[in-house]
Amino acid sequence: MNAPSQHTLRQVGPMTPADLERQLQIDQVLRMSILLGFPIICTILMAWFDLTPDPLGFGIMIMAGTWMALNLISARAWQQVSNMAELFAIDPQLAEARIATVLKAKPLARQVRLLTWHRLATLRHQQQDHDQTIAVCHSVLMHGPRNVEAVSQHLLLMLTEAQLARGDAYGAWISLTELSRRPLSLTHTLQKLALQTRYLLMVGYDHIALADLHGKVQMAEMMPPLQCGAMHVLLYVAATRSGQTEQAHWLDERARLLLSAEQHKHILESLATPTVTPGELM
Amino acid sequence: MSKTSTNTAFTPPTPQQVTAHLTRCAPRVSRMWVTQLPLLLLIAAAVMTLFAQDAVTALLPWIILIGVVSFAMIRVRHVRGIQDRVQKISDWTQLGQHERATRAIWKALPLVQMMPELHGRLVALMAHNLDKLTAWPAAEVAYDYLISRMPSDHPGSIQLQLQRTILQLFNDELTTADTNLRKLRSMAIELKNTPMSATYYYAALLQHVRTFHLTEAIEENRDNLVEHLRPLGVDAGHGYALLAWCYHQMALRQADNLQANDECMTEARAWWRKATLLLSTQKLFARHADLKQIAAHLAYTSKMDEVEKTAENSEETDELMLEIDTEQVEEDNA
Repeated sequence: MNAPSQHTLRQVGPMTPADLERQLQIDQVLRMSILLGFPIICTILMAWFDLTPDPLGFGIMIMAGTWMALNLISARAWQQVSNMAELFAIDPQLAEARIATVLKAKPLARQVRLLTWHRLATLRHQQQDHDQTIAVCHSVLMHGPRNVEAVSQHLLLMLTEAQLARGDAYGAWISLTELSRRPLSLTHTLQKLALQTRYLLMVGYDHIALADLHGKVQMAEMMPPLQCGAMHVLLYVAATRSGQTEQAHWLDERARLLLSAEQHKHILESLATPTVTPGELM
Repeated sequence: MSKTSTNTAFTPPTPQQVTAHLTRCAPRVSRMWVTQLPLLLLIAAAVMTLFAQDAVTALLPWIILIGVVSFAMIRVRHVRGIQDRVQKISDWTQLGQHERATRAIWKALPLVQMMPELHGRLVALMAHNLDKLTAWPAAEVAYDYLISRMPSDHPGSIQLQLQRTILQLFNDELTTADTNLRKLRSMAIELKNTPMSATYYYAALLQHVRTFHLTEAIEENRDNLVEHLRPLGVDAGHGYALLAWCYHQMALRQADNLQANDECMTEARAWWRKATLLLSTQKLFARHADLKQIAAHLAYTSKMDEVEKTAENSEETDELMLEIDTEQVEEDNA
């Protein structure tokens, strides 16, 4: 099947928490109307025309079938956005078009709507649109996706990274505190460590950034090579500012093996590198 | 694999044991009628409601409905539990707990026969863990199993074939390894600065080392090895250690020529230093036992050895491991 041409691809405009609230309310009203209205009408008709000895029981069966049909609509919509990690990298515009299509569908199950917004946050994060990343992450976190703890963790990580990029130290601190309260997977723990180190450097807590240095270096080795090198650069900056020359020299030597000269220079200048990845999207 | 408790010594499985276990636990496909059964039951229940005559026939559809919904909920929880278990195994692998991960994979494989994606993931983890435990013949069996079930030009398959080639070099299957390297060269090098190309360059260097082609190893790698192996992260240290070994061997061959000997030893020390900047000597020796010969001559105290000793008592690493371990220890003891 051919992909739609570029100029016809849908886009998702700027979103706010109010947009998500409105979409969830429309979903709820439509779902309840269909779930109750259709079976009630069928029950009345069956009783009126005496089609079955147990119109009420049959009506409840129709309600169960209606519920399944509504879930099928949500399941079909979900299939379009469930596995998007590769698509984000290969064709972000097509990914955005799919998200836009799913967001327009009604009524969606609450969980599917929230998870689609999570995909939108991931896309905006990849596009480095920090303002929209913050807005979309806040929107979804306010409604607390249930039974999908990994998604909440991922949203908090993206939110923290966007806040650090915007220089919002207080916001980043709130997000990191929230992350510390949750049990994290190994991958998310490593990403949190990198973000925490960036935050500590931003606010000048170099000595805290260097606490348990060897443990942090071991954890950095479990990160992808670029993030591992970036972590070494962050620790090198902290060590230099703290006057720990020997440690700084060792960290810098390792960083220069892990990173190319260009990467090393870029990270040193910006003290930022993409940390949070789409990972295994739920 | 010897069935021992967690407190006694761990013995990796033999290639024959791996083959037998993979055959026993091969993935299966559900029959069509089994997957459609819940839907068929629901339709039957709906139809029964139409013809309900008494209390029993009125109640039966509801019992069927409750049964189907309960079964679906239990099944979802069961699948989630297995996914969590596979994720824990992946985390143990990343944390370097290869024995624990291998045991857990052995027990989990029968549970994922109906889930092909998880099955493939577990076999890949098994191959990786066996590789890290230096059970190379057994790891090769697991890689063969995966490669035979993937398209040969798929990027994932190419990476697995490269890993298998490295194991063949460790297992002294030099002719087969040579054939594979020639076949994979163009595909791997096309993707510059990726883990795949880095793995290829490491395999090519290892081939030169195993066949004692020291001059070729040095000529091909002395200028670009850091750039070529960078995508491997800290594991690039293994490649630097191999090049140090090559220079050291060259120095021994040129013992009569003082200047050449000095130059080679200087290069050997420089590459050994790079290697030990990234990896501890313990990890380097575990992969290439021959390196012990040169470590004494180069007499460089690796800071990574200090890092590993200090980090053994690291609170943060302990807390991380404890979180992941606690539940599984309870399961193992049960």
